[in-house]
Amino acid sequence: MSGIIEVRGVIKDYPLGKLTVRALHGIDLVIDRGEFTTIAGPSGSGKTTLLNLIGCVDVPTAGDVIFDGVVTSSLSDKELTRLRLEKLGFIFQSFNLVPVLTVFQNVELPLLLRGGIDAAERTRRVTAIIERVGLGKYLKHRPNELSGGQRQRVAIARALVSTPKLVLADEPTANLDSVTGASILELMKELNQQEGTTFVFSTHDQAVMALASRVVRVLDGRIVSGATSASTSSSPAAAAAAH
Amino acid sequence: MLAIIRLLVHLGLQSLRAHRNKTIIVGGLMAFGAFLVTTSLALLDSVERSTRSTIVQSISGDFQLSSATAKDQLALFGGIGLGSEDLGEVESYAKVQAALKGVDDIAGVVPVGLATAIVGSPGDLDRTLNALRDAVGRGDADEVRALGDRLKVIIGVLQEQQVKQASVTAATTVAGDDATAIIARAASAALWEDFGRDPIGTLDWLDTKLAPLGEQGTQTFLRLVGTDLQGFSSTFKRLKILEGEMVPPNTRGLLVGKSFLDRRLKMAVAMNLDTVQRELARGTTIASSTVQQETLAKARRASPRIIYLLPPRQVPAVAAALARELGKPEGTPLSEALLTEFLTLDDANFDRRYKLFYDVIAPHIQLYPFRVGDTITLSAFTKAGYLRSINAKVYGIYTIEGLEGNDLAGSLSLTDLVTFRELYGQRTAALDAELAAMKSATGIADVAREDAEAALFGDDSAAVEVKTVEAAATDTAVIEKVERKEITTFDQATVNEGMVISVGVLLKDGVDADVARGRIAAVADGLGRKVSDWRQATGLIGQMTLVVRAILLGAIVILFLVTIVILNNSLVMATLERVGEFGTLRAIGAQKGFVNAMVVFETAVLGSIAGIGGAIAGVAFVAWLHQVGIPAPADVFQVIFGGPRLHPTVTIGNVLAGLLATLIVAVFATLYPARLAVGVQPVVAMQGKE
Repeated sequence: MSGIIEVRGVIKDYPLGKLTVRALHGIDLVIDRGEFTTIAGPSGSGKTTLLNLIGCVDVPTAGDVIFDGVVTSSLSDKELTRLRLEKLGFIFQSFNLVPVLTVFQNVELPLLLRGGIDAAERTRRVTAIIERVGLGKYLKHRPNELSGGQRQRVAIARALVSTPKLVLADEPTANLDSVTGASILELMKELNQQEGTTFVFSTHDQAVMALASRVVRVLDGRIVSGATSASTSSSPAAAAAAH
Repeated sequence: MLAIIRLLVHLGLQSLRAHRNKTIIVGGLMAFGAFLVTTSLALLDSVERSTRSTIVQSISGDFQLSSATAKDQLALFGGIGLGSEDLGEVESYAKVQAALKGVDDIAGVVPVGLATAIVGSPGDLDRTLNALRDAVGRGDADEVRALGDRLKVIIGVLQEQQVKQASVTAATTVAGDDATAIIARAASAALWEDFGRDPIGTLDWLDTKLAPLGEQGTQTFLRLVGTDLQGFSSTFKRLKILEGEMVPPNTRGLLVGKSFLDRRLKMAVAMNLDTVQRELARGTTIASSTVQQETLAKARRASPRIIYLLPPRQVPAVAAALARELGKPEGTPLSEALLTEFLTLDDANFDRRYKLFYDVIAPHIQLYPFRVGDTITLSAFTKAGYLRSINAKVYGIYTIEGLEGNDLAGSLSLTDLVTFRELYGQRTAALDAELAAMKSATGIADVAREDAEAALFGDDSAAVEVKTVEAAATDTAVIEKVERKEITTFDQATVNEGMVISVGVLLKDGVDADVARGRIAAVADGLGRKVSDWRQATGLIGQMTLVVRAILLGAIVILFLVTIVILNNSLVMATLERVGEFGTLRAIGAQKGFVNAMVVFETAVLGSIAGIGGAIAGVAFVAWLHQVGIPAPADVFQVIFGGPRLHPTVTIGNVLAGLLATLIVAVFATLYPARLAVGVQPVVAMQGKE
């Protein structure tokens, strides 16, 4: 396995009024393909910032984030967006479904944005993934007609429909009760094992960490443990070769 | 691509449904905007079409070519400024006419000269004395007797007024005693004995002593348009002769506007009753309107004239009819009191008595100062500043079809070009001939300016007979001996070659006025003329349509700016509410362009729906207005409405403009919110709550 994400000496500063707050103090991290990694840490530790950088929705102040062999800070907004569309899936803490679209339409959205996939193929893929997350009966429902767990399942389906290389989940269980949260995690784990999709998610929930194949602990903007993978660490050269 | 558009449509419609309040407010505003633009453009266009058809096709033509060096703007109906205007001159009408022959779009060309003439009409006493003098001269005994009776009535009324005046002024005037004495003598039997012996001497006394005490008569200003009347009537087909006939070709004559006659020159009682009758027809009541009450009071004050305007043998019948109406005993004499009571009108008796007035009284009195066929004296100050008087026959009374009841439309009297040029002060063949006749009759010889001193004071002074002018009276006497040679016909060349103030051009139907203007302007430039369109050329009225247009358009623009601000505001609010949604879309891979399209598309969809709805409402509203008609609130509006009511129509252009304006507003109002939405960073999705 080669590293899909390589984070090298990343520093991230945020302006706060006249001050600058340093959220990340030089992070080095490699995540391999097929991993089920959790980034854990208390609130304000910088785990969401790290996740944003990995997810290409933010760029580092210094250092490099290399996604699948590409240095993200060298990409334009358009290229970054394209990268997110084609190679990343997102699962949000608050589900973030488009409220005016049905379950089917929400899941279909990334395929439509991507373009070049005909309607029949889209329908096939969308229904398949919705069946897979167990919502086959809810194709025509609107998000507000679903429970929190069901919504998060829709979000998972949306994240996976375009078969991304990496799925990012920001505290996916934070807004769910423990039973539902556990079932969501199990679903993610299943998908990880069966489809081989790489998952990175942030959490401060011990139960979630227990399921992860690897736990990266972040505290005060630094990685305190889990910086290197349990499996073989890959060099940047190897990652580039794999790409 | 198609799928993306479908997605955009779907997202747009769904989110419009989801944000129902915003949709209603924003959509309502845009629908109102579309309604407003459609309706007001339809009204404006209709007004413009009506005005054009009334003014352009009745008097002004589409364009007027006048002197490029004139200081004042040509204004056919009179401009804003007071005093005499400097409109310049077009030296030769024929030249302009010939040059315009080459332009295809023209339906007709007419010369236009403008002058204001004073028409004096004598007072009743003067008129009666003149008629009596004529009757005595002819030796018509019946007529003399009848006129004598009328004179007695007039003197009776004068005496009555004198008594009233004396009671008010309490004999403070010295002249008053003299006047009382004169009227007393005029009213005495002795006067008529004298008249029997020496009618002319008595008439002289009456003319010099009594006449100045009577009412002074009236002077009326006539706005004259001098033109080629035949050409004018064949170009402006809405001109209709109501009474009399067209002035024959190349003949001096006058056509007077019907409404001008009715509203300016008619006998006061009839005129005021007509005014009230018109107002009542519009739904006013006498009881509620002090204006109508005052108008009726004016009619009452003018009523004593009826007594002596009526032929004496008609008086008993009129008195009997009025007595019957008022429930007075038979044999009640016709008096000021009886007339005043008859003319004490209210909403209940007005219609009946108005009809009675026109059935019983009006047929026997002269309602207008002159009749068709009369020759009247037009006086005007020429451009050189002296008073010029010309006698012209009133051939007919005209009106403009569709504007029969309108004051302004008939305010212009039409005359021939020669009469205009003379009143204007132009040397004409007719004037020269008259001058020559005067010279030969008085034996005055032309003396060149430089020879004048020698001729008058040189050694050989006998060569010039100097006529000593001692007093004005003598001077007049000299001139009076001249048989005044009045020219009443002239040849076409004289008419065409001479000067005019401007040249009116009527375009063929359906010709684009702007295009035609370019062609005509090219011709006009070559001749040193400038082109005014009908709006400019009709002065106040034409400018009023411009002002109305400017005000309406200004209001629309302001309203649109306000709408844009309000729309912008509510769209910004809506965008801020949806930051999470936009952030999510950006995070999962939607490009900025997609988010931009989403916002713009949503407003455009709403704008289209609202615009179509508003435009349909506008069409329906205008259709309704077309059915019922908008009544002209005042006379001047009849001209711009093309009649007593405006029946507006809506064109496809109006509707498209309404839709387009709405869409433009929608897009403008979306620019800023769309920029906000595009600026939403995908990272927001990670923080946002659903």
